[in-house]
Amino acid sequence: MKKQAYLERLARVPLFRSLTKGDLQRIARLATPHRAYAGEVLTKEGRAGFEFFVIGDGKATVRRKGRKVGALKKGDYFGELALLERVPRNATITADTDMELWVLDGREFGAVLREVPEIAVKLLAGMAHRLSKADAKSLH
Amino acid sequence: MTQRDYLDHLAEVPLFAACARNDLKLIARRAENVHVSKGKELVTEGKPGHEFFVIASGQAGVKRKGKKIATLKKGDYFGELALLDRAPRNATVVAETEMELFILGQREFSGVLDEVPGLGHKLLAGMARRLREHDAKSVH
Repeated sequence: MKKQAYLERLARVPLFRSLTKGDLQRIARLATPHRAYAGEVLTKEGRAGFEFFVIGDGKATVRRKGRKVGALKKGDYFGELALLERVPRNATITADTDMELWVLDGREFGAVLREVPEIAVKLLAGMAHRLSKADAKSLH
Repeated sequence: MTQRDYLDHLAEVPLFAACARNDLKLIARRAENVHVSKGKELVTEGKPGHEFFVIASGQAGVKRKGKKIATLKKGDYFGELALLDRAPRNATVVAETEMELFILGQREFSGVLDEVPGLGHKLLAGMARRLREHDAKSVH
């Protein structure tokens, strides 16, 4: 893919939207594109996890203890929990369709957080939202 | 307190421990150093929240729907969820002793996150841990 087209694709991902061109280039340098096939297992519950994934296209299913607990689609991201905490994956994620992904390993993810603070803030907002929902649920 | 003492004091907070001297100066400029007496209600469940708190000394109790669910002490922080998620406070926090706090308002908090990149990473790790604790509970 031409560099320009590649940057434009990255810019369409909500997590990367509103970034400056310089920041997008930084992320493009660090992230590796990955084409996953339908049925590919992207993370495995209980296993060590070393990557953060952003979905450029396609769909995936999240299962915990064999039970479906969520669905992921274009623009969603996953894998940050195991990287941030260095704990095993808390769910298995399987591609339902062929997928286009951007992958960052632990070092690259750390570099993005350092070099593009806006990403850290966006991830924080996403996680705060998940935590608020989890807190609310645990009361009932 | 001289500026130097004040910076040393900030550096004792685990959240800021890895910060460079310049980052500490920036945080010191933005944060307000506040002493509160025992019994002071710092955040109120259900109310909008506009501040992030870091405990320099003393202890606070966390209550949800009137039930005490946690104790916060020196080095702990709270209040970031409502700021990041722009949701009402999910708990009430009351000083159980005299306390010394560093307080960042919404704007200062965002500024510090943008300007001190390591901080976003640390907050993310803390939130990841809380999320995992929820996930572990909700599966059993």
